[in-house]
Amino acid sequence: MGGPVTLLLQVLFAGLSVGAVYALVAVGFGVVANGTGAVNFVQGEFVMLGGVMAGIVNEWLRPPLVVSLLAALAVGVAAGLLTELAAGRFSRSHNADVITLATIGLTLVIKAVVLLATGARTYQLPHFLGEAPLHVAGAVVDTQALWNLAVVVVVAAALSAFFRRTRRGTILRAAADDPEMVASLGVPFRTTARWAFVLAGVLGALAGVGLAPLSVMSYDSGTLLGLKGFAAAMLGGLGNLYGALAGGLLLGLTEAVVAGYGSATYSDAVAFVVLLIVLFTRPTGLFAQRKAVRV
Amino acid sequence: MAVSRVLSPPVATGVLLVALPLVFVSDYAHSVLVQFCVMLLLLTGLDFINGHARMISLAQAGLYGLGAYTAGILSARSILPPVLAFVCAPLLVTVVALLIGSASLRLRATYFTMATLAAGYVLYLLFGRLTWLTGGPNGLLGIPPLGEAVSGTTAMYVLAAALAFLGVLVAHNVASSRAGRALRALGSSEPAAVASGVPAYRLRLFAFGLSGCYAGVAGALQTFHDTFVSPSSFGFFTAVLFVVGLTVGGAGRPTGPLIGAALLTGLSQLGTEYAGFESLIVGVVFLVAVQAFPDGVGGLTARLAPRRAR
Repeated sequence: MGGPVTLLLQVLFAGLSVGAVYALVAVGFGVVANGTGAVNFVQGEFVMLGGVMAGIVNEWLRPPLVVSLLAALAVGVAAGLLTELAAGRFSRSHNADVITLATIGLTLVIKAVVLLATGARTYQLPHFLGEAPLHVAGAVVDTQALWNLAVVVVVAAALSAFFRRTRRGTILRAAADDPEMVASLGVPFRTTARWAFVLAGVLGALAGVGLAPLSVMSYDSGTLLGLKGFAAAMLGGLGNLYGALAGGLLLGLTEAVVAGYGSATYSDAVAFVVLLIVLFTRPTGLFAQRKAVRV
Repeated sequence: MAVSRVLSPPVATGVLLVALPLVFVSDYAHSVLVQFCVMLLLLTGLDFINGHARMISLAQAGLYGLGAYTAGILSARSILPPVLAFVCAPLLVTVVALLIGSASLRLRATYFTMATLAAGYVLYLLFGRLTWLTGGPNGLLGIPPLGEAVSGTTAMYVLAAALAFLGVLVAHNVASSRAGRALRALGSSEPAAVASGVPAYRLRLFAFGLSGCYAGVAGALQTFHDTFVSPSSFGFFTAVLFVVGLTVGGAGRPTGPLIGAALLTGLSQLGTEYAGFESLIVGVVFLVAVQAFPDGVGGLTARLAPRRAR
């Protein structure tokens, strides 16, 4: 199995490839939290929808992978629009807690619909950069790790440009600071919310497509991913773009270290322990400015 | 006014708990009714924090599981006699709930929800992964019956009904006590309540501890009823289901837990072959209910008949 250096490299790359997926999910949480104040439980289901959709298209048509990717992104946009509709349609209050609760209900609906449509079938995608793993200093590295990290870098650059340079991005940033001010200046709350949810849907779908070559996706894959992504978002500070990216990578690395050096049995619990520690000791996250604490 | 006093929750619960087993006499029906009592205890406990204090906890499923496993492990491994194991479950769960609460209740509402979700999920993962202690995913076997006096479904039902009635009675008294009123004041407006001298954090902790105690009793009951515990009953879906049941039944309303428990028990009878449809129905109902009828079924009837309300 190679020496300690090989193992370390192996663990690092495994951690980064999954951590990149968590990072995307975490950014999705942050965008919705900024736009609406709510915790979007559906975020994990966006990942599942993206992964499953890409898998279905891939199995059905065997198109170039780009087509599967685009199909997943389309589903992400649609899911984002639907989520906003479902969470905003029946209520006039725009209360963040109500939206959070509504997204919990929607999580169950989405899972049920996918279960009824696909059965409990699992889907997988081929690797984007070729199936043959790379060998780095004796360690076997999955090529998907490179793809996922590249996606994270591109997303970070694109989002940062979107939030700083475009009118819509500026409005979303303003909504994070003072939603009432934005609404009174003539941008309806639901328009802001729609943009936030659609962005979150696209980010989730991207994460799903990135994860599908690494592990199989089925109707049930989303919830745990969503919760882990939320833990990552809290770790970096909810609503902080770079914090979320760092939080995701850090969480992926921690999980990989626990699985590699300790026991894989407990690696799923890492995210929740991290989330509890963050909430109890430093609810604003490692890098953030948002106030989660009462006093 | 008079109607609502005669049909106060303890009276209504008592009448139901006595009448139902006389109407439905089969062993199977009594087993379903035990389920109903367990649900009633769980939702009555959850109502302290979700209904009165208006802080949504998603830890109830995990705490319920902790109660079930505590009673199960202590009795199956012959560490304690079954009756003492039964008593230990709520004690331990209350302590754990106070620990979780003491840290998470300092957070804002949404973050409290996520913290309780995480705490509940860690418990759920432990049930499945600590195989040497809990039997792992296959479940915990070899749980003895509670005692010779409590053997058979009907005897179990009598115990469950007595505990459920006691639970509703205590909840009713707490709700109308000074602490209960302060808790509801806190739920409707925190600044106003704090300004009137309500110790917010301590009261919420009290409510959360109580919800844990109820979950512990419910868990122990369930364990000795089934003489089997498996982790799958305490996961994320169950956690959401309890909140759904209470919200649709009417969180914070006197009859909320009762209606919610009836709905959840009915739902569980739909059977597992409709698994997809079950969560579809639950999801859609919840989605609409939290937005359109924030006061649940109880609140809806009160709104439709405003003159008789309260």
